[in-house]
Amino acid sequence: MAEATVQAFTSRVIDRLEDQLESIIGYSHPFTNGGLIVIFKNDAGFMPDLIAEVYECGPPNITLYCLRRAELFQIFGLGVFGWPNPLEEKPLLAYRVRLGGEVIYGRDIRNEIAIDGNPIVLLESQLQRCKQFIRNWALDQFRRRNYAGITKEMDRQSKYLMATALLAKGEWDVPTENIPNLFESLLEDTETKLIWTDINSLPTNEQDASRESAAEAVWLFEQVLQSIERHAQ
Amino acid sequence: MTATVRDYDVVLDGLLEDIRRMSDVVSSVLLFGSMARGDVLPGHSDMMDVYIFLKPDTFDDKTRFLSSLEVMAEACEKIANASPGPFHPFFYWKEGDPVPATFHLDLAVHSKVINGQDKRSGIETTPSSISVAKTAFFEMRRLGSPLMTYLKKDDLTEQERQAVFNLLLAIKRDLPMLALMVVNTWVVQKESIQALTNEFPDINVEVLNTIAMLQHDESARQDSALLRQTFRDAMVFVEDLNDRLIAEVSGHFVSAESAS
Repeated sequence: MAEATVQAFTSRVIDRLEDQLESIIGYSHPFTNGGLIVIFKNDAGFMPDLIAEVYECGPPNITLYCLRRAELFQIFGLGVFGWPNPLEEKPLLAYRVRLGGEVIYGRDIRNEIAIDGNPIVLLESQLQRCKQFIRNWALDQFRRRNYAGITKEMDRQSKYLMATALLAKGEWDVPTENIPNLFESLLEDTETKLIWTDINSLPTNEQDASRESAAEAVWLFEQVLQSIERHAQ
Repeated sequence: MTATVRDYDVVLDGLLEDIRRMSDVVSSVLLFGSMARGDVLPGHSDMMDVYIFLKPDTFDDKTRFLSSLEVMAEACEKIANASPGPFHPFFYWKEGDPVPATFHLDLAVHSKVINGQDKRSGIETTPSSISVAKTAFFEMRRLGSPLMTYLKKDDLTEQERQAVFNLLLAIKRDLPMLALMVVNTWVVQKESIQALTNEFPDINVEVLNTIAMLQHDESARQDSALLRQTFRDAMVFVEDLNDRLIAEVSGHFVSAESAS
């Protein structure tokens, strides 16, 4: 998150909606630009109008959740299938907010964010999300000739799956560059890591990436799905 | 040029032609959604609501997988270029893998087999996928958030009117069904509005009729004031539904750890 931009946005939201707000929590996310949870009081006004006001404050390129306090359980959810946006923050979100979030305004409600007692479910649903929407996201990118983008996304999604699997080992705050090695050691799974290494070695610049290299990345990603599936059983 | 139902059929025929090129790996192909139901709204119904089930060993055989991937990528491009309505890619799936709960009824019951064998009785879903489906209403509500600024905008551009109309269509098409999933009632889209009024007898669904009217009246869709008022009415409906659902599920999503 670009902190100054986010602070300026948050100040505008507070100036405009202070009497309706319960709290604002900021969070970082290793795979996105992070975001803000804007929490309104349970008796706040008509939510669509309040949400419109938040968006009229000119949000930066981050994720925004606008909820009433009674709706906080939605942070804990498994998340939606996200086509055309291929990455869903949810598997890690509750951890990022509850354990790593920062209270920017108002009441500290972080302990009201539930964390799933069985992170295997998060991995299982993330695997199904990949099968449902990463596969056809890739099909769509072939027609856009976005070959470098396909390889980058298969790399990112593989690491995201490994990060989700690591939740079962209590690891929720692993820097992206450390995820494959930590996954290999804690999950005792060299096979998945090696497949990811092959994806990671494919060209991701526009000049060298080709339809063939992108197809290879999709094939390898299918192998990651199969390999990592055993940790969800 | 005005789209016709025939245009949809032509594109589907093209896909079937491509699927025949990969007959060695395809187990079955299911069509669902408006084309399967026979209620296509030309120009507005999306495509391609198709699941291609591949034989499981395709995912272990690099040569066959890459060859079928290329055929599917080419087919996807052809559909995108010729689609008479909003486009999204079809899905490919390993035969025997559980499908997402949000698609389960559409695939297992209300679909058409358009290629290969009928294996619909073997289609299953999973408990975690059911959990995802039971929160999808709230996720859909959130995804519409950036458009709320249009509730207050006097003059909507053509692009903005289209965005609002698309959101209204999604509210009518998806939200009743997703709301019912929250309360563990599983119906397909076509039956969802009636089922919703059975579940919540005093809920006002009048706006869904207005949206249906807009679907068939292009000139009404150009009227910013009418569109904005329908949008506001639709959000009143969504928020009413949301409040009822929150009351129904309150406490169900709180873990023991959080509650302690």
